[in-house]
Amino acid sequence: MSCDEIRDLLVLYAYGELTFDQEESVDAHLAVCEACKLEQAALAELHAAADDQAVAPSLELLSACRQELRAQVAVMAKVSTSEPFWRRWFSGGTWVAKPAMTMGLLAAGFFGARLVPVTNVAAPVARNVRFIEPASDGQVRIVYDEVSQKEIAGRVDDRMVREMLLSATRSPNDPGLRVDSVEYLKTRCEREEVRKAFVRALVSDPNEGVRLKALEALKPYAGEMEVRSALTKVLLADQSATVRTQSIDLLVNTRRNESELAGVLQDMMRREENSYIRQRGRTVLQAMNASLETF
Amino acid sequence: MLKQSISTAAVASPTVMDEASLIRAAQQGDQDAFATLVHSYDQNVLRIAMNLLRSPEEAKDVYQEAFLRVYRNLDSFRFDCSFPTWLYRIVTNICLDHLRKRKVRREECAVAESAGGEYNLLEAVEEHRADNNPQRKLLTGELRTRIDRALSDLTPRERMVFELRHFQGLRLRAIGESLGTTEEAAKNCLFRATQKMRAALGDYA
Repeated sequence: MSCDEIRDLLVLYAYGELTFDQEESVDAHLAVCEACKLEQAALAELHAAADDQAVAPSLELLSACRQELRAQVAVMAKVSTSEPFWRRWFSGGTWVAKPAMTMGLLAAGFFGARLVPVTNVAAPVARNVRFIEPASDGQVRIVYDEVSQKEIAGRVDDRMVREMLLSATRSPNDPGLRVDSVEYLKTRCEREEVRKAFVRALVSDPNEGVRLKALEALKPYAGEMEVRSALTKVLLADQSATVRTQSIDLLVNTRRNESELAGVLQDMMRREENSYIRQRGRTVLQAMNASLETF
Repeated sequence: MLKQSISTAAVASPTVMDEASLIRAAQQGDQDAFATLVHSYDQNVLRIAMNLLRSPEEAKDVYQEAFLRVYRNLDSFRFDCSFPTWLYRIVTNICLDHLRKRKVRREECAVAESAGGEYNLLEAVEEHRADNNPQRKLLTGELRTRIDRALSDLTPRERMVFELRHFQGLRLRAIGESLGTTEEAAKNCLFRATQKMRAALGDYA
């Protein structure tokens, strides 16, 4: 293949959208052609630059969208069920057809009650089939887990509600749900189990929005050892500059033990790249007459 | 809100919960099943809308319009295609409408606006990555204008295909299905989009 042909394929090559043979040809060509390798690198730069422009919707926006949708769906559901079902049923037919439909309904009820076995219970909400095996008389035996939805409503002070909310702070697939549960629980931060859940979220939640929410909720307890230790961990290791910034502000504003804080800040100065956080650390260390870094 | 959150927490995760059962339950009017279905996909939907339109208000409109359309038409969903393909078809149609309207508006305003006075949408939204490297930041700053211009010069379809392939990681076949076209057409669109951006970036990439 010529260089022009290879360059035409590079776009799809980057996304793994070529056939096996095409990919082989590109690989072989790239191994010997410097110019096409440069073109491939340029394409990678373009992709990286595009990645930098990606925007992520905030969790607040997600939460607002969900609330609005829920309200609109509730209204639509109410409208569609406000008429009695028999009126909807009959409103479609002609006058002549109505007696026939009535008889049909009666017949369906009469025979249905006799034909449907009593053991035929409502289908489970969700099934996860574990295994299938042959049974006697050509039947098949299926073992499955059944999941059903339940609902409770109550105040955050109710033990059951609180436990459900605490469990929701660990919901693995839905950061929006985790943020909402932190929001509901933050007024009960005086409870140790709530603080523990927030500390865990602050240190290990994969979502920046959830970590920030937990940090905000823990602010009144920033003087406590467990919270300070979490803030220190976050300051030294969190990937988000926003979380690290809020963490240093909180640690500095609520400091009790100067030498402990100096140690943390010196450690931070060795690894921090963000200019605001470095400046903040430098100012505090200078005010303490401490050296900027440990050697 | 509280009731909903707890209810959703009590439900099994989408990986355990069979999606087909959820759809059938939602078709029979189970609002919790519908909510669980929405929550499985809504972050992606919002991200697509946000990335394409760069406006929280418009992204919110797309979100509402898409899921209300899903709610209204769920009865007619017959499992002829996968649920995400059906959903993305709806989302892409709505986003394309927004992009087309915007293009028309922009063309109408182009005469009145000075060349340098254009509002940079990218300045108005939060950056996805915190970039602490000053050199990279400087480079990104220069690239920003060019990429912004290159992206806005793409046709709505090219922009959509680039978004779905590059940011959402959808296969070209699935993109073709979502846009009601062939894999080949989606491939050509992606190729054109990348070439245009490559040309617009010039020496920077």
